[in-house]
Amino acid sequence: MAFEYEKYLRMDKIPHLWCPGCGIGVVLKAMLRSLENVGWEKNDIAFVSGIGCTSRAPGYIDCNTLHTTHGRALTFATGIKMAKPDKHVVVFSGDGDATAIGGNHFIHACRRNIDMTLVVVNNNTYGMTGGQHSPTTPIGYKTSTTVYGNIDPTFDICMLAKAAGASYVARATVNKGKVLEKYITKGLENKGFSVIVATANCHTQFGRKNKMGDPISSRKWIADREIPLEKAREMKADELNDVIITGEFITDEQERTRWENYNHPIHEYTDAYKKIIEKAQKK
Amino acid sequence: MKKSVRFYSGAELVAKAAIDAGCRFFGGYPITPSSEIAEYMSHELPKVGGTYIQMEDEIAAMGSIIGASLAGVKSLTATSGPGFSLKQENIGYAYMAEVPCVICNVMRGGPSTGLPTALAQADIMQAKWGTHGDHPVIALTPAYLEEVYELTIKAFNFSEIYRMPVMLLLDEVIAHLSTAIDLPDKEMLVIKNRRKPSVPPEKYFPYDTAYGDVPPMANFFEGYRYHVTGLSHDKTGFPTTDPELVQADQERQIRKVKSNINNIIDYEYYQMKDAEIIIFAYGSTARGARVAVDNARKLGIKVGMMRFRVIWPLPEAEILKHCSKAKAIIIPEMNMGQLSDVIERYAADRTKILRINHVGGVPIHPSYILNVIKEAI
Amino acid sequence: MSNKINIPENYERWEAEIKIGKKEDTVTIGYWRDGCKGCGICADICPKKVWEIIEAKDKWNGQVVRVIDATNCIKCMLCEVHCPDFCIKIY
Repeated sequence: MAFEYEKYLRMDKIPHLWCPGCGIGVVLKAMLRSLENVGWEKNDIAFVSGIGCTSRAPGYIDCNTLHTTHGRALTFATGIKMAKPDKHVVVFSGDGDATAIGGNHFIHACRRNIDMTLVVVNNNTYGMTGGQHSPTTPIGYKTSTTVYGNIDPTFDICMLAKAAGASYVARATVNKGKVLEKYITKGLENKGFSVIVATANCHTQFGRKNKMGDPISSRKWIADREIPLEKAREMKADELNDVIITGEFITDEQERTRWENYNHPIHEYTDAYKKIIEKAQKK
Repeated sequence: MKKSVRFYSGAELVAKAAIDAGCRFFGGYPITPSSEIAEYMSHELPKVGGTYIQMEDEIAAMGSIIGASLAGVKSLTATSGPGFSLKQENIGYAYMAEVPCVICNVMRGGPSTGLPTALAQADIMQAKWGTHGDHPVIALTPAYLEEVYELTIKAFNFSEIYRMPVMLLLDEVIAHLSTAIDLPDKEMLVIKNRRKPSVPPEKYFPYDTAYGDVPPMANFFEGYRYHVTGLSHDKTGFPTTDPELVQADQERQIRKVKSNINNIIDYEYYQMKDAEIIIFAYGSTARGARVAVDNARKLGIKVGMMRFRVIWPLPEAEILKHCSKAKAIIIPEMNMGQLSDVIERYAADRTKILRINHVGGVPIHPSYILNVIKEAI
Repeated sequence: MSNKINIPENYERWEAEIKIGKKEDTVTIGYWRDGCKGCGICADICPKKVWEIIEAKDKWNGQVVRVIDATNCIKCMLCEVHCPDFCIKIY
């Protein structure tokens, strides 16, 4: 049965500004279906974003929407969430926005485990500014600033989020919109900081410079590199070159009580602050 | 009337006044010499159910207070020179998106790390032109501790009335000084709050000029689901590149302060009645200047002082008047002449401007100012 | 979401009787040509070749799609989920 996206969209803004076949549209749709899954009131949701192609997403959603400065979306979002802890805050970010200029805010939002959901659309490049290399451009690939091949090693955003303390972390690709929806829904439901990475195609910028200038071949490039997390865990590092590992990196407390997470108690930040208020008022 | 008298530091007064003005959110980052404000806020805010959060950096602190304010909670951040520089990006955002908030900058020596623990008035121009693009600006410069409380409340009121960030410029002396203060009765305070929309959500536009230059502001989560962006936008809040709309929006924003200048400007005259030599001063520098005026008067020199409690916008008409009448104008500043440059433009060649520019981190001694007064005769 | 078929009037529309496995069903496919940017993802992702790419001079990349055979549809919803432009509705 068709999903009625109209319920959550500002229809006067559609068609959106993204290129034909852009993966961000698929992620936006997965987000809207997830909103229906969790059943939140539109008035109670704030969508926040920074700068970049992905950051234009909130403008299409019929909620309280905030399009901020480059990389800073999580800081505005943290202010909103702390001011109104009973409301829902969701952040859209691109790979450059979240892990380059906003890298500091990213790891600290994870560290606080504040009850927000971050969707990072990773298209391996800075699309809006003309296809420069980003912290997730794989080694050897060409971009408008790495015409001889990229030498900058990449971040794995999921590993980064996990190490920094996020309580739900998952990655899916735009080839699997239903999986994306499942992960985003779980992220929204998680009481804590959730990071969902959506590996997306940017054939216009990243693809064009790497012999996959159309959405179909760009999406195929993603599909060819996808390895499920369970399989990747059995493999050696040198076998995992130029791959996209998908799955749920952190799902539950069991995962978060492993020894790697030492000195990092599991509490959600707004809950912890409520206890501070109680303490201060008792004194 | 019941009054409370006890010792307060300038930093503590900022925190106390903010909470009394209704501030319930502080996003900060430690920096000398403003950290005490964050400390007081972290102690006091939870007691009134407010939120203190120490963010990961200055940029994040500024972002967080804009977010909180959009959610309907009056917000404050405090910083000093280098942190003020870092905040400028998001301060520009607050201007563009017209989000009320207060930024307290305890000025220290610069540029760069400069003199973290010493006195300066280094950010007079940064408060005006720190971020890129044009925007209105309101900046307050208290010189006495009683004034810190009063002007902090005023800063919040201005930010709410005009829907914009407001700068509270302290210097190291004002922030760290402690005095017994007679605080005004809380019930006597005049607290202003942002104007809320009177129309239903479907008729609401966040930047609707039909209600004047300061559009009513709906908070997030109140049923008005609107869009906020740092891009040039039309009245709906969505981006536009229409030259006429962009032009009109910028002009309106400048007009918010310009057409209300008489409600904003704030200065104090001291011994001005027959003054032939006039000192223009602000912040802690004015304290020394006041002593210098007293001492000069004892010598029979007709000198007075105009002290700016609000440094931006300046009382242009009054300044022009004095510039054309005074024999000389003396401007003592703890910077290389940030205000003097502006006053020189008003004065043109009508009077001579004598600058006192100390950037070594120690207050300007009254005797030094007195010597310049003598020179001016 | 309601079970009612909710396809706006400005959508192109195809209806067919289909068989999913042994189960008989009907399908209504709605397609918003004006909003379509001609990326071709629907035609690529459809396991049953319901969609085909056709020439369209009025589109900037010169193509749109149309349904060639709605009776092949198995309502897997892949095209609907992966259309980035909110142009496909399957009931």
